[in-house]
Amino acid sequence: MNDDEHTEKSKSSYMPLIIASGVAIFLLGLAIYIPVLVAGLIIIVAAVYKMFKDGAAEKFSGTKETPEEETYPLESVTNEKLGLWIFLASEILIFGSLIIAYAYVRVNSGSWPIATQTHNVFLGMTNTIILLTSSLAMILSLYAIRQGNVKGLKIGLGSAFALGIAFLVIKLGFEWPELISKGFTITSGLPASTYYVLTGLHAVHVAVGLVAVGYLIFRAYSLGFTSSKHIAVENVGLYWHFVDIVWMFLFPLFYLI
Amino acid sequence: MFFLIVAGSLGMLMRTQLATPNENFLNPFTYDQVVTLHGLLMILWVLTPLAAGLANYIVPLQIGAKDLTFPRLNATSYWTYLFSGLLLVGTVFLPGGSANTGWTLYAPLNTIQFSPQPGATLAILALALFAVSVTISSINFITTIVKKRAKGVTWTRLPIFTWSILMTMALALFAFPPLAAGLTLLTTDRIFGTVFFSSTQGGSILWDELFWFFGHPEVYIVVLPALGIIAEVFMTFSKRPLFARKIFIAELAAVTILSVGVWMHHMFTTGVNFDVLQAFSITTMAISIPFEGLVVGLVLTLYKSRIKLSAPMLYCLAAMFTVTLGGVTGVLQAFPVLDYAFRGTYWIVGHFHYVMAGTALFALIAGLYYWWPKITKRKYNESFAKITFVISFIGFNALYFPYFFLLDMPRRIATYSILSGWASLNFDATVGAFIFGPAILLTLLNLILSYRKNESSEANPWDSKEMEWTGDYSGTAEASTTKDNSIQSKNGDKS
Repeated sequence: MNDDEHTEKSKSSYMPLIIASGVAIFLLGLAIYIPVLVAGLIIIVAAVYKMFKDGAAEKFSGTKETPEEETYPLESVTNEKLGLWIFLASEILIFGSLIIAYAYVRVNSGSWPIATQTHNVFLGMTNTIILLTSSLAMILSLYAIRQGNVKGLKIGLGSAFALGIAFLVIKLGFEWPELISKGFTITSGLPASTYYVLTGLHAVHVAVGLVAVGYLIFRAYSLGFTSSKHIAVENVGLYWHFVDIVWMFLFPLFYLI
Repeated sequence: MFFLIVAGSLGMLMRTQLATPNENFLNPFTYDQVVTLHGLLMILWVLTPLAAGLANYIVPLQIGAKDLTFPRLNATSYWTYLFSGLLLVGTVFLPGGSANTGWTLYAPLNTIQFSPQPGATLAILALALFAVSVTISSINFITTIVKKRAKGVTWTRLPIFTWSILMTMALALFAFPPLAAGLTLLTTDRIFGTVFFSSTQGGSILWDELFWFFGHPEVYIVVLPALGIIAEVFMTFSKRPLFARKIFIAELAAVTILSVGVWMHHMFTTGVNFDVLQAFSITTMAISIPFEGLVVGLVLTLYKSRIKLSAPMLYCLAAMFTVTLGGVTGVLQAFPVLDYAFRGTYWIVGHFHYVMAGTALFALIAGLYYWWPKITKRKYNESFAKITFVISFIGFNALYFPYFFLLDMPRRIATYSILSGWASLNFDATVGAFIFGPAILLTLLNLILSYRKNESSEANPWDSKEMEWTGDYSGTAEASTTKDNSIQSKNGDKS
């Protein structure tokens, strides 16, 4: 049995084990003793860094596709992309459940603060435009690499990355401190609870997206994408647009109505 | 992939031991924890992964693929599953103990005010990690089944077990994210002090909705692979094709779709309004129609055929018996009036143990026996298997049948007085438990012993016509050779 395990492992790596243990230690720390959390985080970051160096796309890509397979009705979709779409479906369900939970508590509450008075609509709008622009940058970089334009790809990815950072800075650096100074803190009741959890989870997704875009930039400079080999750009782009679309729901729900 | 199944069974051993609540030994708080862990571990960490483990080996063989599409994701899923289980079991050792809320983790008992121990937080996080693991593996399975079928394995020729796994995984993909969402809210409640489940505007009903939206499909996540296994075994041992195969698949799909629309029947007594009550009463009865269709299809497969009563077949017949009894007792709950009377009693406990422990576990053991020669190239001891089957079936019924008579005994109580008149039935159940538990252990022992023995089995001991045994995917020679190679290399590594 051990041999079997080893052959499986030698084909892949110990990365899955390391990541899983890192996450487990992280959660252990979250529940019991915060310093332990840091240890878990270090393991995760180290593992992610290692994967960057080895080329994560190869590491986690699927087994090779052969033409002798029945793939009806999805002949033209790659395995990775199908997997990603299924993953996005699960993400939609998570955010969907949370948004429904938000609607539920809001409908059940007798009074709810007026959105435009609590939240800074100007900052929210700015962030919306920033995210939309970053999506545009992702699409442009995909177009660039399809024509083999590596420089265009680098510019596109770089601006998407910068805009993502700008989004987080505005959100965490300006909006949240302002709200907290107004007494709208995470413990101050359901309006604040729903706001912080939903936008917080979205911010985490943006951060994950930034890591992925960062990886693309890293790849663009080291290994290089070509006009025929750029599937990672497209897939990360899909995820990035998804995170963008989630914000399109959150923005009106929290800032406007 | 084989070690996944072994670890699953080992986990099950460990967990079966953990999970024998002894009503006289434990104080109420400990009892509550044992109930909670038993429920969580059995449903989520034993039954679900055991099916996934079998599927991990069998599905690629049935569709003529070498492996799942994303082997590394598969490993990630396995390790996250393992660690989430370890975290959950580890909560027992924390000061203040583990969660004591029952497996449904109902609010507001799950909030920090009523269960302040860190073990409860950790249990919730472990559950979240498990949800991640399931999501990863459902992505992998769906992609594999859609994209990795060998030439000739068209949708209409796809084996029933693979169909059932496809449905299961689609359902898991649908059911676990809402659970993850609920757990996220619960975690922020407990750690950062948000007020989702302690407020009166959201509170316990919000949790109920999120939980049961996951919870009911989860029942089918456990039961559908079981039905798939039963269908495969029936076909092989009666040497008949499945009765009305296309309708059977359609019924599987109908059950899958309807199962996300019945969650409210767990909440009939929470004061939901009458229209909602009626709607969900109807959907609950509606789901029993395709489900009975599945059972009838299975029975008609056997009708007037020559059945070979090997161990897998016996287990499947037992599973059919329990699914019928568990199903009938379940349909009664569809009527809100009866649900008002029965809920929270041992009647319910009997019902879901017949479905879960009976159908799912028996069918999964049948699956293990049935595919054991395929997986390990070893033949288990047939007469030993039959004896353990008889013992475990007797033990099972001695354990759970009395529950149907304990109509007035509330569930989740740690002890009861002698005056209640429940003592003799409870004693009977405990005796049953002490027959059933060891019988399961013996079953696993049988499998492990056969694995260690060097007696190899013939390639197709059941003389089955199914693709994973014959290796013939529509007669394409190439597909079958690649498959044989992959098996040989796997076995070469082991011996």
